[in-house]
Amino acid sequence: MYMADNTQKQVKLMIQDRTGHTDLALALEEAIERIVAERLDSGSPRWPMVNGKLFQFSAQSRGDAVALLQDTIRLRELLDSSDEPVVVLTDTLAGGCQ
Amino acid sequence: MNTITLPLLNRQIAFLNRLKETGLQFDIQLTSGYGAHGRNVVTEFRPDIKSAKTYADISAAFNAKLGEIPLASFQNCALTRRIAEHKSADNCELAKSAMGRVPESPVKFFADNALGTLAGTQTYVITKEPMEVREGDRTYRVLTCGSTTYYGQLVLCVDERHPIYNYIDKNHVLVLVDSENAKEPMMFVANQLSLDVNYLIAAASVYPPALKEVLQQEGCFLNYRDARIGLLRAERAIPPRFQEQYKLLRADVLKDFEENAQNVMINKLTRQEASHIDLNRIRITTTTASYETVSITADDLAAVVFQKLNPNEEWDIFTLINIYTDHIESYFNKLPLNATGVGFRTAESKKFTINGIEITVSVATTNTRRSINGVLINRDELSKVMRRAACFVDENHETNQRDFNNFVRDVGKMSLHVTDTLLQGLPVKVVYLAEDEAYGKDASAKHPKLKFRKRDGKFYFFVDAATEKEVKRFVSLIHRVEMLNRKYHKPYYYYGQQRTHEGGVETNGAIKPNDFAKALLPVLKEHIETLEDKDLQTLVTFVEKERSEAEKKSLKLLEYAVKVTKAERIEFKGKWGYKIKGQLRNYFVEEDGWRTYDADTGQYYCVVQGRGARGVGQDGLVTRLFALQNDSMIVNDVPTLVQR
Repeated sequence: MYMADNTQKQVKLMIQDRTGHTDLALALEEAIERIVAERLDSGSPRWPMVNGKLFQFSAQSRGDAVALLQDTIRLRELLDSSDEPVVVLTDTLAGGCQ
Repeated sequence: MNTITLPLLNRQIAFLNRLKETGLQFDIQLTSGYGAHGRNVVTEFRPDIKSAKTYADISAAFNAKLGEIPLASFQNCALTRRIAEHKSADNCELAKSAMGRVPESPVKFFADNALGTLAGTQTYVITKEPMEVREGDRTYRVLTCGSTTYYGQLVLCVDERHPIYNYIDKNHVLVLVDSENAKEPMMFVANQLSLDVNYLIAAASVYPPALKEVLQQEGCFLNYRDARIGLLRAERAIPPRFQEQYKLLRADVLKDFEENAQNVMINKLTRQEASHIDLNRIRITTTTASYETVSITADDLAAVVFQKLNPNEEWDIFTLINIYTDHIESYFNKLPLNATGVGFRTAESKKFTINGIEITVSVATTNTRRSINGVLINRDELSKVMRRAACFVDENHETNQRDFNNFVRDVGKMSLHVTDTLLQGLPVKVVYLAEDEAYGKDASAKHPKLKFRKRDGKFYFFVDAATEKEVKRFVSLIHRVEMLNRKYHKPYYYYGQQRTHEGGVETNGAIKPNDFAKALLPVLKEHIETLEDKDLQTLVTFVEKERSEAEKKSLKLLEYAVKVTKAERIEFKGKWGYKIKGQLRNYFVEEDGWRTYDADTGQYYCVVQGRGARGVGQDGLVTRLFALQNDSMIVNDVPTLVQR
């Protein structure tokens, strides 16, 4: 498990992957960057479940700077307000097509 | 030990007594076997008729019973000789509800469960012109079912003097009743099997005289148009002591009808008696099926999909799309090549649309490949590529067409199968799981997976996390391994094996190669020149360890998800799974198949993994628990959850 700088608030990430899932404990800013990357940079975007609740991004891409800034502010506030924030990054679902 | 019920015994004895009165000579054999419906064992005192040589004799025997008689009961008579010469004389079949899909079928509905297995009552559909035989001054019409004299049944043999003679015609329905509540058997012909006619058959089977005033033409014909009025008369004519028996049977007929309501509607559409039907909230016409933002249009859509669809199972718009694209793939696979074998005999194409995306599948005389929208695609990937069009649901039609064409172009460059194998690995049965019980089954996503990667245009195989070796002929390797998967299955005896926690078996002791793994080695060595025998143990240990560790970690994640979402493990519709409270409704998700239902109404929701899903084990269930709790926020991605 990768341990980050422990002077900042720690966020626990659980990322679904081929190994069953990967646990990460990241500092707040690193966690936000990772969540944004998993949502916007990945070819197969994931859904971030912050303490069980889906966090909805309004930004559709990195180029959508204003929306992305607002999203990161909201995400930071949400994670900061929780004593032990846990974010599960899940695969997405679709309406029937395979 | 042979057993027989008293009513059945009484019926058989009455027949034998009537047969004796005809003057025919016969012995009596005690037989036991499956009845005409093939569903239950019937013990029978069967006549072995020795003196029936002519059609007049056969007709006399039939009139003594007014019911089916095994052809084997007649020894070397005119009829059995004729059937032996012509090989087949089948001209009628026991009625089945499924017959209703044939355009001119007289079967609009038949209560398979309630009437199909009724002792003493048989309902036959006359599927071909009856056999007509001239003998002396008489003409006989004969119906037989079953194509051999050993297994076949004589269903009817009457001459022109019998009032039913003129109604024995193709697409009519013959009902033979030998009720325990009446002294004499009876028969009649109907021109259609509607719901009311089903009720009348039920009434006849309980108390045959009830139909006395209903049947026309000397008590032998029932016009389905008069069935409603006739039913009122028949129900009044049933004596009070038989009313309870009739009501129970009528309720069974109605239950059959309600369970088959979808079948009845589908039959109406395929016979073009209805312009459209709405099933599972899908609007279906003969050429289109549409649900929310997903649709398919094809000239022969209804004719194709309703041949294969089982409406009693769970299905949705994607099931219809899959059936149609599979049909197209199968159609092009059957087309013959030309004499030189370098192309198809004739150039052909088929056009249809999914979500408004135009799809043209074609073959040419100049090569043996199939193409979609002008791009050559592997023959076994045609259907998979076509059905992906259903994933493009942008409101802008032009965007959908462009995205789909780009997708087809990419698959044309690198096979879909190869892409999936690189992304997800190639499942192999180096460990047998519980479901590996039969020959011919592919390995599933739950099996350990061989891992590959592509670098600088070359394919590499992972023996373990640190060792990779170059693969020659990657596609050939995939196909050979998949053939092995289908060939091998769990052993019937577990000598030298031990059970795994999933209910499968593995070689005793540590993880050792099973018979599949031993067969895999030569295939791998054929495609990976630097692979050695000793690598097999390393490989098997590596892939199995990866799989079992991933499964365990996935279960840990599930534990967390259940705790956070407060999902409750319950049994629903006979299956175990989790009940989860959403914002729009409560859901139940099966823990095995991950199928999703409304926990209150039982309505099925088609929810599948999104593109590029990477999870293993129960990760799909984890995703559903989290996502369904937030259902109102994911309806854009999962339109099947939209509040209606």
